[in-house]
Amino acid sequence: MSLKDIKASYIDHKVQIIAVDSLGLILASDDVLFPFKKNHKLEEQHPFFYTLLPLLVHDTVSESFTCVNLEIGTISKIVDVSILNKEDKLYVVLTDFTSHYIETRPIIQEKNDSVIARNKLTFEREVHFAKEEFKNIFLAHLNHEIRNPLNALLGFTELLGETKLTFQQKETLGVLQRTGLHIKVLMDDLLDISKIETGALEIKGVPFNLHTLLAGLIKHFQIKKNNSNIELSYCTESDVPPKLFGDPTRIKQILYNLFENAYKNTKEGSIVLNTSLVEMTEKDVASLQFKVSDTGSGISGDQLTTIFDPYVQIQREELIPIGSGLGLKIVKDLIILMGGTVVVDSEVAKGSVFTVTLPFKTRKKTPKSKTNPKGSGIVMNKRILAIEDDTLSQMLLMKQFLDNDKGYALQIAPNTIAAIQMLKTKIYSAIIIKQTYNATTGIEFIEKLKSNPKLSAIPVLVVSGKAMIKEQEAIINAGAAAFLKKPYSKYELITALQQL
Amino acid sequence: MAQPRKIVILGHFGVGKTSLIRQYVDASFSEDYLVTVGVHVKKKDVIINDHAVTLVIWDIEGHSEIASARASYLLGASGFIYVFDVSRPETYANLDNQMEYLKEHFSGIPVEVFGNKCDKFEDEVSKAFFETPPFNSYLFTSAKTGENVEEGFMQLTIKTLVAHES
Repeated sequence: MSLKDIKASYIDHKVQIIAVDSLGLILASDDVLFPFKKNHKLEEQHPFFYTLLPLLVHDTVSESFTCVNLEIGTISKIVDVSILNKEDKLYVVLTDFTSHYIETRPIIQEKNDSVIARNKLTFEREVHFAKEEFKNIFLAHLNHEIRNPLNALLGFTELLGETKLTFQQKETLGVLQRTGLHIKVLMDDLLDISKIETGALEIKGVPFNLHTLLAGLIKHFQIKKNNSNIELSYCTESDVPPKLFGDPTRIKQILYNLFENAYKNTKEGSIVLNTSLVEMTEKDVASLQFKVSDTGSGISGDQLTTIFDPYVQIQREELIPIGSGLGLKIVKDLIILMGGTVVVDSEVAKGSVFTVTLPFKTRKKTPKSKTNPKGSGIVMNKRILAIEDDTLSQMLLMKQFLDNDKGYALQIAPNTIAAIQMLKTKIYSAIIIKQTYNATTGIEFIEKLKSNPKLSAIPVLVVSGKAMIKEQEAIINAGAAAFLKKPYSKYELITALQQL
Repeated sequence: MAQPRKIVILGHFGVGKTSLIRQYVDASFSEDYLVTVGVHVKKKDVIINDHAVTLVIWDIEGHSEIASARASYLLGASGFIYVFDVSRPETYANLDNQMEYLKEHFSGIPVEVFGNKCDKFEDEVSKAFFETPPFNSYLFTSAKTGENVEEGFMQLTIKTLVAHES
């Protein structure tokens, strides 16, 4: 058997040749793959051939079509089709590649399925980010819109408290103040969540004393919850290093929220904070564990998974709903930011234990530096210029500065143009300006002031309901000395001015 | 004698090209996605305004760009249907470019755009999004329910007849 014969036997049963005339009539076919009837039109065999021949009759160039699925009668094959135009005769050549193409199908299927799934995931992620962005912008607006009127509400309530009131009036005023402060706390919580989620919240690494922090916090709650039937106690093990580097404000916030949560869920019994050292690394990093245990209503197993979700409120049959549900979300997010962990164990009707583990760099004792007494004791008269267009806020400012014991004298300009005129005629110790939400007048004014050599030394305090970190940075970068977030108390305003 | 019209269905993979043809030619539908390898050709005889037309429909494998499709498949086409999936943005993200490509390489050949899987409107996909330009000029079809499928093929067939006469 010659090579040619072997080749022919290999190819022959895979290749069918059909001769057709210019009208597409079948002249001859070897019927290796499909039985084609002589003197019938090719297009009658399969729709594939239908629109094919008109293209090729007048064409001297041959054409080929790969991977054509043909079903003729009961026979189904995937073939490559070549149409040859030789010596004014047309030949259709079908080459069977069925097994080859069938083998590739699962690979293509898998590839396509995975691309579709990947794109779906990408799209869902994009939608999620867009929603987050919208939520954060919404939160920023909401914060601003609420802080401004809240500032007036709390400010006037505070001033009212300084007037002569009956016992009943004082009691009513107390309720007003507590309600207002509760709204403020909720606003701060919302802002914190927003800051954490946008990565704008930075954890500080400043020196602090843990013992002092814990003692102060416990004292605060003992006074605050004086009338409750709950005994609050704490125990700090002797090997816990007191001198640490960290963010005391945020640590206080974590423990504060855990205590608040424990108080909300406990009718009577005890709340205990236990602090212990888990390990001390060679690099002087102490891993500390804070356990907040209560004898409260506890959390059922199915609710444990959602306890740190800010949008889930846990309802308990015997108790009122858990506040805003934001506190524990902040706790978890802050702990993660600090590189720690939080675990909750709980049993319904017996109580809960929140175990927080946090790493702290420890510090060695440093000799105390001598301090000189501050100030001369003589109160200097200081003229303050406030730029405020809102009449309610103007009134509040005037009342806040009335009879202040720091010697501040307030003058108000209704806008920046009037302020510039006043600055030309009088010397001011400081300027208070509000940062309006949509306009950039605050920043523009500060920049103008700082570019004037005669006025550039006057410190500017910006007060705003716009409490997002980016806005604060923009104001400070423009040259403002400090930023005071609304709502603020009279004490906070005067203190901020003193610190300029 | 019926006039043959070659219609090529274009679009990304998985947008429902094969399902649309099955719905139109065989009035059947399956939820399963089975990849098309190469080309399947089906035909359907229709009568439009007393004109007998044999639609020869080429169901080719999906491509994100028409330029990647085998050139021989598009040869001699009388009309194109470009299909996208309303629930998969990547299938209509480059629609403008694809229309430009057809205009440039197949000038004068009518094109119909189908936004397929419109049965997902209001459930998974926002219909309002597709009511704005350029989408509001497209036809929204469902191979699953048959919505607008017949109409879409008819519209294109009429366009091919008009294009042929002119």
